[in-house]
Amino acid sequence: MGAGYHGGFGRTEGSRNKPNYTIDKNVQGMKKYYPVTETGKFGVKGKNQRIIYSKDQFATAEDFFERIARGGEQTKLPNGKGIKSVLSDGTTIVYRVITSTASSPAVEIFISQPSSIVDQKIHFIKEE
Amino acid sequence: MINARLTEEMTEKMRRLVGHQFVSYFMDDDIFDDKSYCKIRIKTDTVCLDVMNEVQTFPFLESSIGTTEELSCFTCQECSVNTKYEPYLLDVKSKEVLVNEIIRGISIVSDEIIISEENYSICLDMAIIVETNRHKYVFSRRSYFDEQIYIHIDKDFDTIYSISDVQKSWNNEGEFSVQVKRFVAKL
Repeated sequence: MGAGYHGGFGRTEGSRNKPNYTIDKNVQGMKKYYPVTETGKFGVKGKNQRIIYSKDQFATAEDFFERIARGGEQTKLPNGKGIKSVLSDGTTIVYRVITSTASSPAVEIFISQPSSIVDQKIHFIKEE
Repeated sequence: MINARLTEEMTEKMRRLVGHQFVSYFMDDDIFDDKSYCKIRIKTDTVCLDVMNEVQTFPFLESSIGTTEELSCFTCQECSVNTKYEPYLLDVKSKEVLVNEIIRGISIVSDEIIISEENYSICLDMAIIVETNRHKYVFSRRSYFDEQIYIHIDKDFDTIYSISDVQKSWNNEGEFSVQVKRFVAKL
């Protein structure tokens, strides 16, 4: 078992993954804030990626990550790039604070087992 | 065509492993044995090869809304058998999985992805397969933005990540018709 980053992120709980926190459970709890399409995607269509527009894209990205990664085991990416979280069902969620797109954080979701959502990358973009 | 493949020099480093003893591989020490974040190490009796799958920026993927996409690509680097293995992620422990088999061959599975509507094509290495006298070790990638390295033993890469999966990840939710040519190079 890896050492993990146990400090949590923002308002998240500690980081050891807890048995009942699966991707489907976390998605269920956040659907009213971040609707999911019939094809299992968040946000709106971009170019081979999904987009969530927001007045404060960093705060929204952090809030989204906290909800979807709830109960996961968290570790830091090098160079302050972000955080990886793994849920008990094997789903990996990566929060990239820094991406190649200026001022646009991103959250990546990689599913391990059949789920109501699919692998995707979501960019958070400032709403003009 | 955008070439996001291992360089000739890197491929040569892999080729040199053939015939040597595959002592072990290193990966993240996680409860899930089938993946390691961005890095693994192949250790032989003479040399180690660190394989990475880090994202790089490719400006051709810029979109009209101003996002620039990143693409994860395999790279590799040689190091001595005595060099301590450091995982890619901070605060993560690693583990060594013992193999002790002879490397009979190494294959690289690559995909050429052609998107006519967007007028570009990309060539990416998707899997590094180490064949020994006993097993086939598959170190592979999946989505273009995924930095994880997936580890499977004695599985066909087409069943791990099919051409249809590749098409799905590039077709922009059905907007583009994506042609994928998969080829295998035996080193």
